[in-house]
Amino acid sequence: MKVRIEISPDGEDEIIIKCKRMDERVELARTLLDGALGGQGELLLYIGNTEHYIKKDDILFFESTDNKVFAHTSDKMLRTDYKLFELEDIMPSYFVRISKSAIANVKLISSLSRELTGNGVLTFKGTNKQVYFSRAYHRQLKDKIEEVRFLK
Amino acid sequence: MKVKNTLLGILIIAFAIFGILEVSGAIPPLAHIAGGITYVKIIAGVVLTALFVESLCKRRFCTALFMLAFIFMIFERNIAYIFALNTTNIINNWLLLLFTAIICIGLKLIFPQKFKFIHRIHPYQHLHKHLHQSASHSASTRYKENNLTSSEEYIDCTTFTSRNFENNLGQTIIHFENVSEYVGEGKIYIENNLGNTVINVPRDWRVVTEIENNLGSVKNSGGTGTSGPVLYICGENNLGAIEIKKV
Repeated sequence: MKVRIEISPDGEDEIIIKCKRMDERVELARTLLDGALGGQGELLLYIGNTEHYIKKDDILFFESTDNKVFAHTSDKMLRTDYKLFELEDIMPSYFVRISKSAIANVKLISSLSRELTGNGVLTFKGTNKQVYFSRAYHRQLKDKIEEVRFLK
Repeated sequence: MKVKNTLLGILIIAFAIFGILEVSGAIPPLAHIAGGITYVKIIAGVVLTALFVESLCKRRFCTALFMLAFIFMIFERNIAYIFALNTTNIINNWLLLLFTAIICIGLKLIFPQKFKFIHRIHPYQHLHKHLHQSASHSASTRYKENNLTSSEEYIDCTTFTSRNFENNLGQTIIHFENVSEYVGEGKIYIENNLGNTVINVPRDWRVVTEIENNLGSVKNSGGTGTSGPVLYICGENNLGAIEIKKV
């Protein structure tokens, strides 16, 4: 795969991958770039009426409760105006849907345990917070963990 | 609470002994009422009617429907006698229970939360006199139900005023977030049936509890505290375990 850099003083920085079709190598390149650069951005979140700018990499998971979406960092719970499906698009690819009501940051997961029903619980590095994932999203979650953490 | 449970236990045992004596023929039935009615049936009928009325008062319509079904099952033979029906088996008991359950499911689908909010605000009144049951309060109370699964609930203290939790045969763990924003006077109402509920309360908060414990365990580790913002926890624990942990 060729790597070419074009320097253009106008407009914002952009990385475009040109390919004949989406294959494993392209996906890997995207994941690596996303991992390296995606989390640098910040997200506008709220505690009450106060605005907070939180690095995407610091967010453990998003959870929807009572028609509101909250982002959890290791020590805070912040409200966002985005819907979960919108967050799936704007967050880096290592944020993965784990249930109908939650999206987790695969990079920060420290353990995953399953219950008898097939559902399970995720714990995160450096915090006691945990979130439940549903059976339907387990395969997708495992694949993403392997892809991001072990660069399959 | 212990005296109440002891009394209830004695009454239940007495009822069972009375039933055995009646079945064995030591106590004759009242033959002249509605084609023969036993004392046990009368007592059971009174208890079920009381439960039916209580359920209606608390807006627990499903429980009320089941109480009606049980009353019908007990007095089925007498009802058939009064209406001079040919058969004493008007409807199969299992079918009756099945149809009652179907009606309950239908009602729950039509009114998913209406049943719950109304009666669950009441316990706060015992707990905190100046808390009035206003329409706005009912509307702001959020409700979460967990059946047979495990769930972690995070309460955002910036907007927290009152929350309802119901846990049936599952595990619910409640956490408080953004605790520095908490102004106090928050209320949590819990109904824990055969499950396990853990409430992780910040160490410096003052906790006031009023939990009706029916054959279960309520543990408050870390004490109630003397200063700091107040959190009211009330509700019911039926054959389950509630633990209030200071973290």
